[in-house]
Amino acid sequence: MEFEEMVKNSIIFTRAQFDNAKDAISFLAQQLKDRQIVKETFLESVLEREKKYPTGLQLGKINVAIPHTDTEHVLKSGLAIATLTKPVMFRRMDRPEQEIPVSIIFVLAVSNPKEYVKFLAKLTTSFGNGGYIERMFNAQQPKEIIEILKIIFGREAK
Amino acid sequence: MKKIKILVVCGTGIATSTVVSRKLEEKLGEKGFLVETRQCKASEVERNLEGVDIIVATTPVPENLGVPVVRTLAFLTGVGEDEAINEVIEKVGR
Repeated sequence: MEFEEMVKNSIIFTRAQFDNAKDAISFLAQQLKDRQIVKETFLESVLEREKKYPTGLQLGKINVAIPHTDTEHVLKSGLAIATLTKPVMFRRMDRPEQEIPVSIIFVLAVSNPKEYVKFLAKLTTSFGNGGYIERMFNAQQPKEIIEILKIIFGREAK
Repeated sequence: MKKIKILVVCGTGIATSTVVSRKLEEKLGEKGFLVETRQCKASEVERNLEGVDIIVATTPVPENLGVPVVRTLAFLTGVGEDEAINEVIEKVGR
């Protein structure tokens, strides 16, 4: 998969506001559905999975979450991102009994993990280094986040 | 050298475990280990244990599986990766 295609299938909202995680996931999943990136069933499946296997990642000051679900609910690989002015609570992936405030949500639509793995790996490892998360969080416009994704993914990502 | 068989576990057995598997193959490969990974959902761990030397999981897994478990997000986020690799090697006992 090419970087351009990945960006084309990325939907980004900066400085968004939601009352809770469910509202945020629902909004982002709806955007993916409207662009025919995921099926009708995607939202319900993501919410169900989030209950059983939450996706909050505690990183420190700015925490993130990566809601996603089985490939059968996805038409093509894509990504919906929202940065939040006010964090919403997610349960931790590694310790589901704990809740953490999350400020950036990445809803992942994965149709073929083998094809998508380079992007996924580059995205998730960017959470832990280089200050990329802070830069995304501070972005005022979606295009600023696209610039950061360009750096993270690198032009060589295929 | 004998292969290390790793069962990589996450919630859906798709996105997260794919990233973790590649990372384990890369990092353990650099240290000269032969690695075979298999991925599964947290709910399917018990039926995927055959021949497995160690489990690396990003989510809680059942206790007393008879196989060592490393629960970490290090191979997903890159934070504390070297320590986590050492823990895997130590627990697998090679």
